Order: sequence, then C-alpha cells, then structure tokens
Amino acid sequence: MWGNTGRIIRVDLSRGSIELQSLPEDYYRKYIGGSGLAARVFWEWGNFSIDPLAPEAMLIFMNGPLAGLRLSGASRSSVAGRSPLTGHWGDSSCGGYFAPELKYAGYDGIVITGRAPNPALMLIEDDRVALVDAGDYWGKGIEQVTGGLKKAYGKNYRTLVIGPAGERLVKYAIILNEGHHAFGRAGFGAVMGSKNLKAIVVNAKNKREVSLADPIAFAALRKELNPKIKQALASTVMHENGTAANLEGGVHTGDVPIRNFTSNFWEEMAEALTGSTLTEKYLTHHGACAFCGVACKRVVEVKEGPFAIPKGPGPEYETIVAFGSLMGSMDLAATCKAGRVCNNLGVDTISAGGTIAWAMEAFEKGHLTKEDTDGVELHWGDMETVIDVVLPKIADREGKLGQLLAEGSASAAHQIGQDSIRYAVHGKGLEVPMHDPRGGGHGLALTYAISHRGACHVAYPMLFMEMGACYYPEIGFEFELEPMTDQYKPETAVIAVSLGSIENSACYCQFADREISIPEWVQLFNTVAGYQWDADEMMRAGRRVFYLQRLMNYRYGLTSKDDVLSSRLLEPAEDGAPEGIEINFSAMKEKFYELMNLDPEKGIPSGEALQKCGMGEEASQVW
Amino acid sequence: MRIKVKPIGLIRNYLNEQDVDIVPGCTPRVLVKELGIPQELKMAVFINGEKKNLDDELQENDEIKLVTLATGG
Repeated sequence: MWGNTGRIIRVDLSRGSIELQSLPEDYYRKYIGGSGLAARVFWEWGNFSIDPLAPEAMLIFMNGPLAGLRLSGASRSSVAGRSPLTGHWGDSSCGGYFAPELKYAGYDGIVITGRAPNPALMLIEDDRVALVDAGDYWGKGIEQVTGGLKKAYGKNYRTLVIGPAGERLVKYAIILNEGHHAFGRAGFGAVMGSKNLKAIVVNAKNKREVSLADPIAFAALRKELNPKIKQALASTVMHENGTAANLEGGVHTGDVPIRNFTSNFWEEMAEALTGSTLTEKYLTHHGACAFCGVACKRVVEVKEGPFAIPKGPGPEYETIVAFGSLMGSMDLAATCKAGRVCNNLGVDTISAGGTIAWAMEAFEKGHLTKEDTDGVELHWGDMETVIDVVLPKIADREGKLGQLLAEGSASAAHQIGQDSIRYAVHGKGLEVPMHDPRGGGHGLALTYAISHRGACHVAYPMLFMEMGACYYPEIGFEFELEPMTDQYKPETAVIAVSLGSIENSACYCQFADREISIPEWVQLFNTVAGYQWDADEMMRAGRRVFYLQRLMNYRYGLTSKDDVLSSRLLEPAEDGAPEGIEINFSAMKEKFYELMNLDPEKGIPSGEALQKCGMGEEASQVW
Repeated sequence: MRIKVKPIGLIRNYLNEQDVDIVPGCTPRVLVKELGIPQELKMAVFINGEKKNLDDELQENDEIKLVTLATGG
C-alpha cells in the first residue's frame, strides 16, 4: 500500500485491550481516508442502534493519505461517529499537529469503543500503545491539561484533550489539539468523555516513512503547490488578517448573522469585528498548522479591561461572529475572551454561540424566564454574563440553565416550546455556522440542508464556489454565480458534494486547497497512493463518500424530510442586501435530488446509482 | 461623467474611496478592471444603496459600493 500506513489502532476501553488491525486496501481506494474511510469502517464494524454516549459507541479518528507529507494545508484529520448532538452520523475535521504525528508513529487511525473504568489517557509512542491513568487530569481545563501533558511527556508529544464540558457530556463538546486546534463540530468531545478518555497523546520517536507510489513526481508537485498556495491572494490576506479578514465585506453583503439571524446588516459592527481590527488591536503573532505556509491562525493578547486575557490562541471568524454580532455585541475583546474560555472548557464556539443567541431571543420574547435560567438575565450584547456565568454553567451542566443549554439549541427549543422552535437556527440539529445563506448565497442553504453532518459550511465548498473563489472547468464548474439567486445552484451542489467529500476525506484545509486545480488533485492521489485515477474516477470517489454518508443517515432514520433548514433562514431577510429576497429552497432541493439520483422519499441514492459507484454491497443492505 | 467609488472589505487594500471619471456606458465590471483590482477578488456591487449586477450601466453621480464577497470559516 502507498501513502497510507495500512494500520489502525483498535481499542476497547472497557476491556483495556489494544489491537492493531489492517483495513482492506479497497476501502482506501474507494473511500480515500478521513471522513469517507471513517464512514466505511463504521459501516463494517459499527452498530447503528447504539446510543452515541453508550460504552459500545464507536469513536473513530482517521487520517487521510496526504498527512505528514509536508504539504501546505494537509495537516488535518477527521473524527467521526454517531453525533450526540444530532443523533445521526457526524464527523469533524481538525488541523494542527496531530495527524502528521499519528502517521509518523505508524497509524492511519484509531477506533475506540468501551468505557474505561477510571479516567484514562491513551499514550502512543511508535509501536507502544498504552492506556494510562488520567485521574490527575480529570475535571481540569484543556489549557492546564495540555500544559501538564507536555510537561510530563515532552513538548514534542502531540495532544488531543477534552475539557470539563466533554466530561459532563455537553452535547457540543470539542476535542482540542495543542490547546488551539479543534475537532469542533457535532460533539465528539462528549463521546470521549462518555468513555472516560481524557486525552490521546502521540509521539513518533522513529518517524516512520511511508512509501509513496511515485516519490519523485510527488516531490516535484509539492514544490509547485506549496509556493502557489502560500503566494495566492486569498492566502496572503488570511495570513495578514486571519479567517475574519473580510468580515466587513460579509456584513455588507448580508452574510454575517446578527442577533440570532434576525438582521443582516449592522454597519458599525463591520469594522469593529473585522480581521484587520483584530490584527491592529490584539494580534501578537501568527500561528500555523503543521507545514502550512498560509499561517492564518491568530495568537492574541488583550491587555486590559473586563475581557483581558494573556497571550494565547485567538478567535477565528466563526468565534468572532458567534460571540459578537450573533449575540448583538461588537466587542472584539469579548470574542477573544469567549473563544479562550470555550477552548478551555471544551465547547464548540459555533454551537455554543448559536445556542446562547437562541436563549437570548427566547428570554427577550418571554419564552425563557428567570425561573428557567436560575435567575440569570440574558440580554443581547451582555458578554460579561455570557462569559462569566453562562459558559461555565453550560460546561458544568449547572442548574436549569446549564442543563438546558448543554443540549444544544434544537433540543432546548423542543423543551421550551412556545414558538421558540421557529428561531432555533439549525440544520439536522447542528447549529448553523456564521454564514447566513440569505446573504452568503442561496446554494449554501441547499448544502446546509443536504449535508450528512447537519448545517455546515465546510462539508462542501459551496460558499467558496458561490463567491467565485474557484473554477474547475475540467469537471464542468465554470459558472459565474450570483450568490443571491438559485441559478445553477443545484448543478453546482452536485460538484460541490463530491469535491467536499474528497477534501474532507483527503483531510485537506478548504482555505489552502482552493488553489489546487483538478489535474493537480488527481496527480496528488496518483503520485501518493498510486490510484491511476483520472478526474472522473476521482470525482466518483467523492460521490461514493457522499452516497455512503446518506445511507448511514438513512439507517439512523433520516429521510428526505430531514433535508431542511430552520424556517428563519427560509423567511426573507428584513434588512441589508438580501432584504425581501426569498430562497427558492424546494425547487433547488428537488433538482439536486434529481441530478444526484436520490429517492424523493427516502433521500438515499437509487440502487442503480449505487451500482454505478461500485457500491453494490452497500446497496444490498438498504434496497 | 463622474461617480463616487466606495470600497468595502478586503478591496480597501487596493482602493481608497474616491471620485472617478468614467465614459458613458461604463459598467462596474469595466470599472473594476480599469481600477486595477486583482481579478481574484470577487465582488458584490451596490449602486446608490441597491444591489446591482456587474454589467449594469453606471450613471452620472452614482455612488458605487464595491464589496468583497465573504470569506471566513
């Protein structure tokens, strides 16, 4: 096998057993790695009737074939399983430093089941894999634990850690690498917590080399790609001002959500929260994932005021908006502190932001009262209360408010009822990220709705395609799209779902890989893994991953009727650039279903479509 | 004829707010090219506060906002 190590660590925490297993080579070729390969592993070994927080639940970490190959943007890996937040198949991607280290230690992934009798951590040092007592770390914040692990084992040991929120099974708990890079979405920190697994620590002392199909051609390709990625305009902009570099532009196009998606324009906020303001006021230096020349990460310090924080990880675009305009605040320092607190407690800033913003609106409307909130008043823009009171209550599941909000906005709204369901803004139970499709692009509404994970802007690159950040003439994507219409959006979504599935299975960063052309993608797979693909065969692999994940959700009981969005996003915006414009959602969805050969009731691909993708075995289990 | 150009977002790195003389029949697409804005920057166009198309014709005294499209994740 080329590109991959061919080895998976399989751990049963209940029994304390650790085994090495190989996967059929065919799985890699058909499902690539990361998100796709994890899904195929679960399809084979998993059980669809198990509660996501039960000991028997399966938690899968999976690399892609490009991990550790010193490519800008290819430092990511996936975590996958049944999401405790949404109840169906989910996965989440994380950059940083874990993926290359795991590969160098000799593994493509880790499959975890069971529940350790006492808090434990998994220690991986090349061929030595051990479960170690983690009693001293249990109950502590991620920053302290990460520091403690580095002190105990060495700073070259790469860490994945959960916080108190993961231990308390908060449904959107995260897993954090190096205290900075998050497996943020869908709540896999809670799955780790349910297994009494506080951390995974990996170090490759011997740094295994993986054989490549054509190392000379790959080296030549990398020599072209790395400078191309680093020097691209989008990369230089993001290096300078981070992922929020164009937040101001987003406010004017109506993409940036305000006060729980009730408004699409707030002029004064645009400059207050945009990336250049963060750079000027709080940036101390740039951070990067392994081998990345873009270095879009922020390291910030807020020296004074109520939101003062020492030098450390700074907020991404999503955190700035979730704890800024979404909550009716334009205090940039507050977003820095909120991000830091979320990281330390171990909660996803998107879901936490969406859930708290929902609670603020519910409180304003009287659907949530002080009786429900343990006397806490929730007002737009009151960030001191959010940071000092609400976030700790959520992470600790303290009182009625903590218990309610720890479940996420969709579940909280169902508990409260009284019309509050209408303004819980989610797709399949996953809080919508900080791009309002009414202004960001109508195609995004479609891909939010049809994503296997729930509403997600990076499951597929629709956002980038709608704003003209990429063209792929070799696969038929050469439309000049107008974001605020439905024209060509189903056709674009057909390409986006395959491409996004390839990106998330190859575990490539969607900012960096916008610069990679289709012929270069094909060359990457061929020189690394020796697949001898052409563009069609590569895109078929992407479609196969998309199809498999639809089959998995079907087995969790999801059908076509679940491919929807919260009603708020389908109502015309009340102000800003998208004011009064309705998203033609049903027609887009119907056309997409037709183009993708999805059954209009079941929402899964037809048997014939599955056969065409070489998925006869999978088809036989659902048709 | 003269129009006012207001850049919003990333485009500010390339362009200051300014008055620009244009010929009749000029469109935002032509204007963006003539102002030397990198073609990788994709834009939404607002003329006198209303969202318009890149190929709509500009008129005397128009105020045109050029807004870089969203990034971020």
